Amino acid sequence: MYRRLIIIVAFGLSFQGTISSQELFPTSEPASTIPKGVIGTRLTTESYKEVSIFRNLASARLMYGLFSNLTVMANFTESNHHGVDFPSGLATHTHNGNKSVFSSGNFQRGLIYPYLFTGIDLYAKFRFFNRDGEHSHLRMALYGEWSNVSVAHDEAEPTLLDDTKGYGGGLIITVLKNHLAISLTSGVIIPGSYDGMSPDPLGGPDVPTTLTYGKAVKYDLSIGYLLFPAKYHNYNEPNINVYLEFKGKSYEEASIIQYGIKPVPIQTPLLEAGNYVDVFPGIQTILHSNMRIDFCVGFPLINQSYAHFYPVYMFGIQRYFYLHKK
Amino acid sequence: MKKIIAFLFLASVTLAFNSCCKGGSGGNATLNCAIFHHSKPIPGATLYIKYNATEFPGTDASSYSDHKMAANNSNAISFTGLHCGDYYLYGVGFDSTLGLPVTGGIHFQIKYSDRSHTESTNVPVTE
Repeated sequence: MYRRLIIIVAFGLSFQGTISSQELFPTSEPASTIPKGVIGTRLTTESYKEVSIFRNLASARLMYGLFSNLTVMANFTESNHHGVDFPSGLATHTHNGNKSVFSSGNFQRGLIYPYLFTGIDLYAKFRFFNRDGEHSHLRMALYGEWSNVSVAHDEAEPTLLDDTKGYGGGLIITVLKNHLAISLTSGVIIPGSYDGMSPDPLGGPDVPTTLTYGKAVKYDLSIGYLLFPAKYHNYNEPNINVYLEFKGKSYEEASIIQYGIKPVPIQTPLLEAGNYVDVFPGIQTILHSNMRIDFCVGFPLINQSYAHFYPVYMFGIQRYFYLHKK
Repeated sequence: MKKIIAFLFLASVTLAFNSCCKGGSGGNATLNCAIFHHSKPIPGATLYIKYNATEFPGTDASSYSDHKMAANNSNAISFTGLHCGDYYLYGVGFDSTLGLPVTGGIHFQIKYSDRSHTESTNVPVTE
């Protein structure tokens, strides 16, 4: 028992720049990194009700501390958010004399899609600044992300984890003082486009449709507070943390091309430029200094996202494997 | 750990096979194309093909790798001897019932597993 405790404490002391419990934000990454050589796994689910059906997402994350200041991750995601082809009504055209009149519109929501493996999202985080004090630290990290997600996402807003392929990057600044942790994440998302098919309005073969999503800027503010224990007695004590996260995004208008050559005017808010801030209150417990279980719910605060409905329920479970302890 | 390494190895091999695919001639795949304006077949249309392309190359015929013309009573055109990989198809025809030219393009990918097969696609066109 004492040997185990000594190993845990020694391990913790050797990980300068690693993570404190109240900065393990449920929806955002802190500037801290995973210890070198440590593998982490995380399973998350996200659910919301869209009209009469539930949209669900499950993501498995594999994390690895490549160096003490460089963490790499791979996310594998499955969801029933979208199909392989675009829904009827998103982009269409009518005939007016000798001309085709192209248009985009609000399509039916709540359509049933099968669960699809959407793709892989790779993420790397490099901590370049670290100032540690007594029960406090300030850390900064740069992150980069690449995704090959390929589904018929039908809104302008890009999300690399499960909606759009592309890449992105940004800066994370995390401050921890006693029981409180605050983190700011700001970055850009440069999404790719998706080539799919749309139903032909006159019953012909499906129409080739390319949707290019809007570039986006994201700005997240996460606040975490260690509720319990007020003072550590041993490392096996469960932690209870509460969180309040504000997740904002501002994105450009999407563009649609049909038949490879015909631009379709954007006439629906789903594809127009937009911005919003969601708020996610959450709670988390950490067992044996390792097993992390968190739950949070998202609501619209300023405007709203068209890429999901509200409330959004998120659940996560995470564990580290300290391989070289053996 | 061994399972993770095995998975990553298999994923790398799959990616490597797919990245070997580069659209072009000299292969064993056949691509059968049919040109439609909505549900109406467009006979006598010309179909341009650009090898190793995923996006519309433009309307200049010299931008394309090859082209074929359908028979006057058919909307079908075939390209043979293709490798697996990406192709961009651009159809140009005439809808005689409307009295208007119709055009349209589509990206098509022949997968590695279909490198010796016959694939089919519609090429929808519009006025």
